[in-house]
Amino acid sequence: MSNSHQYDDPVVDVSRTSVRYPDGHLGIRDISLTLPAGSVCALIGPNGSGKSTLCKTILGFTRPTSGRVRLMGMTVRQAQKRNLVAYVPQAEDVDWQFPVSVWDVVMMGRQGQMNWLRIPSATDRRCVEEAMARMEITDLARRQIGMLSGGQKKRVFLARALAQGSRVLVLDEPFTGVDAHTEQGIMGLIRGLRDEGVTVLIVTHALSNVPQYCDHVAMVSQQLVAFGPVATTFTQRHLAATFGDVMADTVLSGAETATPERASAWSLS
Amino acid sequence: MSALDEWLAVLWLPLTLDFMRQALWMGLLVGTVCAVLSCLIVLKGWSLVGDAASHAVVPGIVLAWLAGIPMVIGALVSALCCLLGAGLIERNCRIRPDAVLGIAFTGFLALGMVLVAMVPSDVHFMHILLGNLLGIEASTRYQLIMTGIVVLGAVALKFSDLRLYCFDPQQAQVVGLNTRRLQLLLTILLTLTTVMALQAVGVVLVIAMLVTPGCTAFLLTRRLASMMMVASASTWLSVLSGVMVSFHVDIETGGVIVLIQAFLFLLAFLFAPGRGVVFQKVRVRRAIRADREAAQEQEEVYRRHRV
Repeated sequence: MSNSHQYDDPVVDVSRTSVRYPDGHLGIRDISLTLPAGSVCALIGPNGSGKSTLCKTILGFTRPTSGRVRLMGMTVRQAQKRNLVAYVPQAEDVDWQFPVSVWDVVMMGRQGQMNWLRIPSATDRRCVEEAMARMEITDLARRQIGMLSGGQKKRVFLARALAQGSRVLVLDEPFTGVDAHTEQGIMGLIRGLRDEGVTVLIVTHALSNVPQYCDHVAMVSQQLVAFGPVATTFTQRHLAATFGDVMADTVLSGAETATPERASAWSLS
Repeated sequence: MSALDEWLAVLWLPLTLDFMRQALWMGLLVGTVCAVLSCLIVLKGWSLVGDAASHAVVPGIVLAWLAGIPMVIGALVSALCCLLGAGLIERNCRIRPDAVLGIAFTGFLALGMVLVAMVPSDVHFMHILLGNLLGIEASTRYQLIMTGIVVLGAVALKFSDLRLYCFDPQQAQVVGLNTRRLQLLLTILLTLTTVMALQAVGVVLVIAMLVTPGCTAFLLTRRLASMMMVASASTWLSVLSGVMVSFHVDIETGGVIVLIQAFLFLLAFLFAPGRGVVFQKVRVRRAIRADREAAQEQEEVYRRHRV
């Protein structure tokens, strides 16, 4: 997805960020977290906890009322102009009836890098073809997006993010409505991207497999309840503080066995 | 001359008349611009915005006439004031956007009607309210041609960005496009198109020109470019037959055009391959029959095994 040249400073740097909506409703309060290059972080919390607000703030869709977000040392807007950020939306947020083909959608990942007439160059075409091959949707190129299965739809939008070749990838609920096979595929892709030096941020409700593919976890309940490496942070105490006791027990009874060793090898920079 | 030839000669009579030919050309131009924009408007879900723009241009047109500047400019300024003003109120208020827009554009329309009543020259403004392809003045015609070229040119140049903005504005922002500028561009194009449609069908029916062709084409196509072509073709058909019918039967051209457009939509709704009602009914019925046959076969197999 990107060149593997080293970037040592934090790639995602959220410092003391708060969001309060115009109607007075509190989104998030005083959240600070940093993610290094080549890391995968799960953003978890109950409904209405502000995890999607945090995600939107990092993507620049929502302006923080105080604090700031830096991506590779730049403002969000600057980072977006350099195509350093890619975003995979929730399936519910997409208009599946829109008259565009799979090829058109994947090409939208290249939109910011094309010439002003938006005529795709050879590089643009190659990136799109490679991304589609990687997500195994090459033979669907001419399909209208509404005529795909749930798993295929997910893969189209992952391919779009891949084609963009960004350094930061934000995924919003990538595991809802996909079967176990696609789920494994997405986790494999996320691990692959991490090894290529991409910083991946995942908003998810699927808690039990967080230790399988994440090395950091951020628990949000308006404020940041806990943040750090999965091995030390994904614990009963923190989950209980975020979700309540019953929930934490059920999650951990399934997850304990799945926690891989590599998670402990990661530490917060 | 046979009876058929005679009949055809009568039918084509309007096309031999200079003023009818001109009306037809203007209708085709206006229709094409409306059809192309209607695809974007329908996909973006901006039907109400289109309706608002068409009503909000009225005071601008009257004031522009009084000030002696081109009508298109007055209309553009007036509609932008209405839409941007409504946007400003909406961001700072808890009332729903559609209600705010409703207040804003009816306010502008009322202002326009007051101005029409106050300004002595009346015939001119009745064209705005009712629209009349046959009554377009030479100076207006020139403005419409220029506006049409600008709108179609802008859509052609910015096709890809506008498509992305309508489909997924968040992605547009993430890849570094200026979504505010794209929104403003689409609003301006919408307003300019509204001014053109006014000439053909009048304030009340503008929204039909801005919505119906796009909806008809949506049911028939799978790609945006082909959607725009089908929308244009359906509008050409409506304008051509509208002009002919209104000449022979002597009724309002705009009304006939919109009526035919609605009829074409109804045809697409019923018979469109894939998305039409009839097609879907047939498909479901076939599937049910296949299910039943499969079940019968299964039963047969069971019975044979038992014996």
